[in-house]
Formats: sequence, C-alpha cells, structure tokens
Amino acid sequence: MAFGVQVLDAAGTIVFDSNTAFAGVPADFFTVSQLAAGVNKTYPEFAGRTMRIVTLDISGSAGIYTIDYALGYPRLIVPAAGIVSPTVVVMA
Amino acid sequence: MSYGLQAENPSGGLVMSADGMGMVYLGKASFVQNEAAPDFAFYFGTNVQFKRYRITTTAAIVLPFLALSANICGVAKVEPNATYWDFVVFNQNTSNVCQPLDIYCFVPPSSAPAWGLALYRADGTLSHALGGSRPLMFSGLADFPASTYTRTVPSLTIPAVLGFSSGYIDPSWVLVDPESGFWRADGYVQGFKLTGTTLYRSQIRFRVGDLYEFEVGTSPGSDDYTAIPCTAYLIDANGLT
Repeated sequence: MAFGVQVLDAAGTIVFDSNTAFAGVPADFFTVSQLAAGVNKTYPEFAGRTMRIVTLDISGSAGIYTIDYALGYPRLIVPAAGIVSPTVVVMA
Repeated sequence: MSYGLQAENPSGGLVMSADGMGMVYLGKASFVQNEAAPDFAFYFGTNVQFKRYRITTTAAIVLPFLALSANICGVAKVEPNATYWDFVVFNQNTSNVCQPLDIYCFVPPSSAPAWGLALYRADGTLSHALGGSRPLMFSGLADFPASTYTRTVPSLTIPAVLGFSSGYIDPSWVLVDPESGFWRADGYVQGFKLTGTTLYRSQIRFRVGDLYEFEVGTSPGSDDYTAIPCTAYLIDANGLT
C-alpha cells in the first residue's frame, strides 16, 4: 500500500484497507425511546463531514429527520412530532 | 475530530475515526419463523408473509446487512431486546414470495482485542477493536436522490446492504364509498435488489385492500415515498460465516 491504514486478520488476510474503503463511519444511533421529540443532536467532532441518516425499518418513513450544517458542524433535526422509527443510524 | 486516530480514503472520505463506532462482525442472524408483514398503521388489509430472523447479543446497536440478489429485500421491522435483536425482513421474488437470505450482523466491540489496536473516544469508551473480529468496512455507497431508482455500485463477491426501507401507499386511490368517504389503496414497501452492478430501489406490495376514511368530498392525495432520498451502504460479505 502507498499510504493509509490496513487491518489484517490472523491468517494475514486484509480485512480493512483505507485505500479501498468507501466513506462512512457509524457515528450515532438511537431508538425511539432514546430520543425526545423536538430535541436536536449535534456532532461537533465531525465538523466538515457530510452526515447521512439510515433508517433501518419500514416505520422509519425516511425524510422525517434531516441534517443541517448551520452551526458549522452537523446537526440532526428531530421534528416535534412524527418520531416513529425504532432504530436510526447516523453516518459520518 | 477531537481525539485519537482517523483515516481517510484517497478521495478524502472518512473511513475510520476514534470518534465513531468501530463495528465488528458478530455473525449471521438465524431464521425464526414466517409471519405476516408488520402493519404499523393497523389498516384493514391482507398482508403477505415476511420472515423473522434473530441474533443473540447484548449490544446496544446491531447493524444488519442483507445479502443482495434479484429479489427485493429490506428490513420491515427491527425489534431490539436486552439479549437479542429481531429483524422482520422481506426478500420477495417476482411472485412476491419471501425467500431465505443471509443477514450479516455487526455490533460495537465489547472489549479490546488480545492483539492489534484499540481506539478509545475522548470519554474513555472503546471505539475500535482492530485485531479480533472482522471490522466493518464499506465497499460501496449509493446515494439515491429523490425519485431516482437505480445506481451503479462496485462489483462485489457477496454484496450485502444495510437495510433501509420505507413504507409506501399506492397513490392510485379508488373511491369505494363516496357517502362515507372510504378510499381503497394497497400498501407497498421499498427495498433493494441487485442485477450485475446496478442497484435498484424497488417496491413490492405487502398489503392488499387497505381501506381509509377521509372527510367526505376530500381526496387522499399521494403517499409516494419514492420522492424521498435514501442511501445504501454496501459491504462485501465474502468470508463472513
């Protein structure tokens, strides 16, 4: 490799390679019981990164949650109503 | 970042960060039973059969990656429990019959590896355990803008996708009783299917004959979630058993 990070398993097989990996680090998750309506979450440690929301199931009704960068770092906007997804993952 | 180690790929994308969650492979979820597709809205209708899978773990979060094929797959319902997580999934063939599939589960590491490298967050909690179970590495990323249904993804040996789906009601409403305001529609769910290196977000009917009541004289409008953007994260599950 020219640069970066590789992880090898015990057999010497490369199982992680920063040269070929696609972007994406799971940064946060929540279930419906862990999230209060209308309360936003912020991620200053991921300033400068684009974050994405993955809803894991059918009740996620994607589009309920949004990410903005008005503060200079990612912020998850949680609406005051309509929190229905049991499991949501935020990716940096 | 605030602390520790991070890595980027050649295009500057974040691929490892001590601030994040360094997921590691736990195992495949086991088939539990066939059951009717979940109906969160409790409307009237007939549901098709989906399949329930279970992974035993006390982890706070489980990421399920569904093996991709020509079937339309996705997670319909996630049920976290203290000692296991259940996933009610669909993997429908062209006859809308749910087919068995492999679900590769990743969880945050519970302890530092015996050898290798451990990363910790600023608060001292374990972030990455590199050297034990196989770490999560994304081998594809497909952003679906609104009303976009196909994306090209890399060629992978055993492609698997993180299970996004969304509910969807057929916008082709039929007014069945003007006097009481009853409209009929079918329920659809969105999932992913793969043909070659083309990833589709497709829809399959999971509920037939819903009845909805609206105010007399009004129209239900459209509930088309295909106009909502979504993202698919892919891994190559080759070697995962």
